[in-house]
Amino acid sequence: MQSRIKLFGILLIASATLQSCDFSKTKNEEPIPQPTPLSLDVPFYFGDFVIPSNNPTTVEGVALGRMLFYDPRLSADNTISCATCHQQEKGFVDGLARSRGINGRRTNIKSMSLVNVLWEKRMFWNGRVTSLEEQALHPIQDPNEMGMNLQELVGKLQSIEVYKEQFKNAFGSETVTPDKIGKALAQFQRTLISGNSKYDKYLREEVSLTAQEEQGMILFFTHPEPAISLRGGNCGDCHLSLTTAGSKDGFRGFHNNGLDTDENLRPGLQTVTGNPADRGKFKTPNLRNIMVRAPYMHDGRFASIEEVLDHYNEHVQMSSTLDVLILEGSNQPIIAGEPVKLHLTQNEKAAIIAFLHTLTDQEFLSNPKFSNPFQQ
Amino acid sequence: MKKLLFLLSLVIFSSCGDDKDAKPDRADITLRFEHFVGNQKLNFTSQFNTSAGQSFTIEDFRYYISNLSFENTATGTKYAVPNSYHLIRENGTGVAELVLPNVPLAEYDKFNFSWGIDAEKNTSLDQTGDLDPSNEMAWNWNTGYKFILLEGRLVPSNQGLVYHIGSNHNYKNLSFTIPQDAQLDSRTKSTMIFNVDILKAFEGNSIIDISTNNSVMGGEIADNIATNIGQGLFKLQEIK
Repeated sequence: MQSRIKLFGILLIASATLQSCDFSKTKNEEPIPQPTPLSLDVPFYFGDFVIPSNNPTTVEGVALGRMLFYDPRLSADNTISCATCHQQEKGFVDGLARSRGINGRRTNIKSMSLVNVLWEKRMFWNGRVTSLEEQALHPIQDPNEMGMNLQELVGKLQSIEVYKEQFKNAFGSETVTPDKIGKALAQFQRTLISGNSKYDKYLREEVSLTAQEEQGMILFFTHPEPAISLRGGNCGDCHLSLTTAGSKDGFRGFHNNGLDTDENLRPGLQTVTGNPADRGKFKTPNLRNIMVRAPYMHDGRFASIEEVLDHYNEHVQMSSTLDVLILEGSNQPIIAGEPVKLHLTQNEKAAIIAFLHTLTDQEFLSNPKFSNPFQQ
Repeated sequence: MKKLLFLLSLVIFSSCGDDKDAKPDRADITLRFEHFVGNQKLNFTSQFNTSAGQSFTIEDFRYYISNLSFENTATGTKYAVPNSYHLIRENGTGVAELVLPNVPLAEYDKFNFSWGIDAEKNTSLDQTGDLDPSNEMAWNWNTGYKFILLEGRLVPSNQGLVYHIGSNHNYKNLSFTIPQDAQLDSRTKSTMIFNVDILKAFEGNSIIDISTNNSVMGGEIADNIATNIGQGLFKLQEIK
């Protein structure tokens, strides 16, 4: 019997060790309610994703993240929120080539769409960050965006009554920290899942595409091979078939898509890797809702989707790091040294654009769960 | 309580209680793929040459192997690695490894794997891990996986080298003899080293001129490369 007590004692110590934090704090107080786990409704064909174990998605965390996302008080002059540059009805971009920041400043790059970021492994056009938690804090501090010092932000939010309860509900205490701000924003962004476009419904065999949309889809995902008379639009080598996003594998989702010659290439991924072979490579964006996301490219240089197709079809600029799949992508035999052209017909271009329209997800663009909580 | 102590001692001592003379039941077997171009170890910065003297660089190299199994052809004993689909990715170091944990040991004389993905798995989208259809090895929304992806550039023309190959009929079953003195069944950890010479894909049964066939994604040339791969890309070099 004695030994049994000993054993019980050991178990008790073990469980106390495991839960020590909760034990000491809640001894004489009201038990702190745990945030409610939120499971995300994800299309099966988007593949594997990882949610960091130290930031599980919860109802309360997402609610807090959504408030922070739409709150201009996160900026130095109370004019810019995350949603200024990431507007839901525009597929979470802002319609500008260079985004707007505090004091009328402009960024030097186009805002990125926030769609299906749950599956992303590298954030920003140059891939400099590997977590949504960290990503969220960059624009807040960027002098050309929200221009906020994190310690000042902590003090500011701490003094706003409504956030006290929100932080407590989401993270167990009223104390605001930069870590919690990043975590809440990341949680909200993980819920921004677009999986109800016509193309998604087609993939789930719920609808069929029109003949033109289907022709466009086939062209979109086909790398042209004139040797075997295979016509293609050469888009799917970078915008992968089910996600229409770039590869998640290492830096495989970054490409030089022929916008500029060597002299004019911006460094892009080279800033992160230091490797000259990565010069001019930028992150391949997810194309869900692309038709409402003009202008296009990392610098917003193309006002319309027609200009984008014309670029890939006729105006690719040669450079030493131009992607090999563009370099070797043509519907006619390629002559070494001559500019690469796709040689698509007008009908083929129109079909590809018809397919791009099937990537628009109206439910996503108007989902009240993603909208401004201050305007409800 | 005595029972409990007994159980406890089992837990504590079982890990170091193996009789040193007895052969282990199971082992972790590492497959080590050493990537070469001819005699030169593969990396993403050097220039390489074909036997015909064409210079080129490599930027990416990856391939699927699947349905791995160990076999004793005399007794018929066979261990098939479960759910065995593996994307082998070169990362620029010339070496890629894959660990097969807890392989039940026997006196195996054959190791088998297939290059590519079998037809059944090759058409399903509902998959994860190395077969995650959102990885860039998937051809498109419904036609399976590239079995091999090799990309680079010709030197000095800077033309692209693009080899994406993999149709169901390209799938190859490969078998490798495990030498009698390999003693795979006497260690708890072993490494099987494969020599993978990229030139063998172009210089085998068919000789492929990469300067004129610098982009291949299907058709007769792709089939010829696939045949070359089946015949000579993988060589079991050493087991230790």
